[in-house]
Amino acid sequence: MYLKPYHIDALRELVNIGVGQAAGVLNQMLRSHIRLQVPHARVLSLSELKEEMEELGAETLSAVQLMFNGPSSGIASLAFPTDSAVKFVDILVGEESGIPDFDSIKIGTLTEVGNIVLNGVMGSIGNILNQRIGYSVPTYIEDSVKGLLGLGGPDPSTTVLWAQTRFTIEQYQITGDVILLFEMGSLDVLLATIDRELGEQS
Amino acid sequence: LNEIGLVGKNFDVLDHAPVGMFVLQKDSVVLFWNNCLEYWTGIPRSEIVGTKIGDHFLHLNEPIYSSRLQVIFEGGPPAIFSSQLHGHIIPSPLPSGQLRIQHTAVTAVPSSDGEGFYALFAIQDVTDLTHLIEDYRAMRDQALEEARERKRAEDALWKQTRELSERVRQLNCLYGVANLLGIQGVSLDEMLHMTVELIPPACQHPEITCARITLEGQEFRTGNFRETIWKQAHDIAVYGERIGALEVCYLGERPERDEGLFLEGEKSLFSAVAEALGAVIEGKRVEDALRIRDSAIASSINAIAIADLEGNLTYVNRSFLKLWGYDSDKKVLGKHSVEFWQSEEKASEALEASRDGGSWMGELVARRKDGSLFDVQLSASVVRDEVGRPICMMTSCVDITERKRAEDALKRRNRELATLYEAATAISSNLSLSVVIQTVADQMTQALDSSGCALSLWDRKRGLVETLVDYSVDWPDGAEPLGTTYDLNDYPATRSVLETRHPMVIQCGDPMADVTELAWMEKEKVQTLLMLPLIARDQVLGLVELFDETEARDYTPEEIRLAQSLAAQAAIAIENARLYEQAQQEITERRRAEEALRERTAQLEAANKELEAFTYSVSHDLRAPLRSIDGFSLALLEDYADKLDEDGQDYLRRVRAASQRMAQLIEDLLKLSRLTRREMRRETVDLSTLAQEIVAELEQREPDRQVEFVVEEGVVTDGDAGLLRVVLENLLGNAWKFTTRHPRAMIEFGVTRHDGQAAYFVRDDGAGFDTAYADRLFGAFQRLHSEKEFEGTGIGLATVQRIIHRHGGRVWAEGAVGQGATFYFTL
Repeated sequence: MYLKPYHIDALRELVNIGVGQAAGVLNQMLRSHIRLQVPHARVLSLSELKEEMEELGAETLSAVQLMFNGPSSGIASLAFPTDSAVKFVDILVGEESGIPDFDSIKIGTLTEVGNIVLNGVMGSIGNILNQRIGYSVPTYIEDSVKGLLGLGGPDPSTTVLWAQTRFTIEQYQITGDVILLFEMGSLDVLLATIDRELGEQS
Repeated sequence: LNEIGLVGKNFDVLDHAPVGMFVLQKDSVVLFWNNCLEYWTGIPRSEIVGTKIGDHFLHLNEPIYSSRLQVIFEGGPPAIFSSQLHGHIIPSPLPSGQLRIQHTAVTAVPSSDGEGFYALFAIQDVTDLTHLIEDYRAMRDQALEEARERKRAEDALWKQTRELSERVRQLNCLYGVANLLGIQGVSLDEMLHMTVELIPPACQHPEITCARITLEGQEFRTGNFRETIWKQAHDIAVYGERIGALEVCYLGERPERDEGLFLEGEKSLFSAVAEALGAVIEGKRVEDALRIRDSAIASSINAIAIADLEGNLTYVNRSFLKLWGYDSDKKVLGKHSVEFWQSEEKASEALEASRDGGSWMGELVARRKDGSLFDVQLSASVVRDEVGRPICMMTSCVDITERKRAEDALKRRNRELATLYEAATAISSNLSLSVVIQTVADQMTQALDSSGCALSLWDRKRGLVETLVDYSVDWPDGAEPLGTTYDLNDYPATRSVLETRHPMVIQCGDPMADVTELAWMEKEKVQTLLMLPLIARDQVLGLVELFDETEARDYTPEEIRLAQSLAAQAAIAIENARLYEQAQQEITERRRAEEALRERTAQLEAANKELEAFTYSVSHDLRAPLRSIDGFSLALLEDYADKLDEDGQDYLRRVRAASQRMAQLIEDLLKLSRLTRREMRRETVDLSTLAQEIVAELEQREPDRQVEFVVEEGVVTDGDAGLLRVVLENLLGNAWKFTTRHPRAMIEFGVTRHDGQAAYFVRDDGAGFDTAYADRLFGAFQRLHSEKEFEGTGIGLATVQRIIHRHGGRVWAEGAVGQGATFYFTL
């Protein structure tokens, strides 16, 4: 389907809403002020994303993934460079080991945080689709950019919604990427819904 | 209940799972509670199913749970409650009392009615895992800590090693310095030089370190020394006073700046070196001072001895040994100090006095090793320690034998001088030759304690000596002037004294002496004869002979010197007396001459006065008859003209003319004599103005004459204005007169230089004169021209000359016949 400028705006808005909700939950849960921002969101092909992310230079990524299926299917990921992920967890739980070690306790914590963020984003998408979407239990994965994105299947034309998110806690700023890989046609469903919703509104 | 049953059936399979599982309905009512949870919590399913979970576990009522569960009940994505953030969703204690640590996943499960969703909680017990991880973490942390600790220890060790090597370097330096300081025979300069070189190697960066020691204007530096801002300076002090400094500089910036520019160890090293240098210099100074003092005492010219308080000698210096005649101090030390003196008693007194009073000073007679005695000036004092306790006695002696001798000589000399002075005063107190000669004889006899004295003058021309006085103490009247003369050819000894100017002593019976002299001495019973020349103004006037009649005598050099001095005085006195007498004579003669001159002058003055009076009276007396002659001649001409023929009248007129001319002559003579008598008044006179006045009068008198006057302006001189006017009247008048024959004439007045003097002149271009007669020009009544040619009495130039002479000047004339004349005068 042909992507119109307002689609991007709408998608960015959806992500923003979801991230905003997630921030509320995190603040409530952690009793510390976390600011979540989405400086930009783009729709691009999987191969394009690979190039972009490889250019950013992170070697290994720590990601929380949530698979979804229904009218729109795909994988939602929140990915950090592993160093940033460790630091992020340490800040969240008030520990400062300074050791870049990811044990299962820390993985659990990162998974919960990723779960909250992804739930926010997916929640806002689910709301607009207004149809039942099935979800997998979120999982943690640590891999290279290539390995991580290879999950999307062999089709390089898979469409991706890529939103950079910036977590600001105390004096620290940690940047992660919300990546939504849509299966063939899944984004079209979403865009059609957006068109319909906007049409209804207008 | 239906629903519960339904759910129970559906979830039955989960009952035995090793995971805590329960299902909540939208209103939080528990629909399923599995076995595992029963076991964990001890709450049986029957008790909890159908009740709200929040009633059992209050924390689950919190919004953080309810809000996230809400999504589940709406079929939203699953929720994870991680063990770290929500470790005790369903608190369940372990046997140990600790709570299980749980990891929970909540998923939405479609409800049995298919309308909504249930929330299925799957709770994993991760206690063991957590503990394992925690253990691992602890182990890891411990390992890390150990690693850090090891690193710290390594660092510390490394630092220590570095410091140690630093310290070793510094110790090396200090050791080097200490060694240097300890080496005997190294000069301070060398030591400082070597010390400064030891500094850079002791520093952490020797290659960029340089050092310098400055000490009282001297400088010792390493070859690369340069003053930079990276400097550390330490004072070198002696007795607390700064006398120099040790400076250490970095030539460049230090590679590592972890501890400031200089390490603490370095600073303390520099300060230690500076301190050590100060101490060594201090020590050296003390040592030097002591050594100097020791060698000063040892080499003192004074004989120095140190004795214990009992008086036993413990030290004597070289001078002491030399003075007392000992070879070494072995025979001296240990002896009692009183043994070295003539009088042990006096020495003991001195010893006790100095011991009691702290010091003693005086003269003593010392006894040498060989028993000989000598005079000593001794000063003894008690030496005390710092708290004032007496330690020993010290004496310092000076051999004063020489001084005593010198003192005696001085006394003698003083006596001589006194005698000499007395004699000289006596001798020169009179100018009468005879008195002087007698005094000389008298004084010399007394001063030299002789029996007699003769004084003779030398007549060179005649080769004789004339005895003026022969004086003997034995004679009742003392000196007795004589007039005996001796031919020097008979007395070669006497002649030798006069010619060589050396004194001579002749002893009676001396085989070497001249026989004539000896014969004379024998005759006069003279035992010893001393002959001295009398020399004044480098002239030998004569000689003095001193006799000793009672016994032969040896004249000492001092006595001869004294005699010579007296003879010299005597010679001068005699010469003075002679000159005085000569002068007296000359004065008398001059007085006589002056007297004669005065008399002659008075006579001349009287004659002059007479002459003037005569001239005056003659002039006066001559005028009266002349007036009669002229008067009666006129009466004859007037009253008896008819009775006289032409010849008679002509004769009468001639009589008159002659008498008038005579009157004029007399008048001029009177003038001349008046000029002579008149008193001169000197003042400043403007000759130019005077000349112009006179010229004006002349022109008025004969206005028809064509005469050009040239009068030099501003000719001023000093003299009698009236007399100088007469001079100019005469000279200008003459010029006017002697140019009468010329239709045009020129007359000039001015001033020129003659023999360095101002010479005033009057020049005309008139008749002139023959220079052959020039000396006659200025005589009274002398005329070079006949009266017919030029009128005049011939008195004028005489008057001029007289006036000029009265001014102390000179007048003269130059000229030639028909070529005018020039009259010069000076004043």
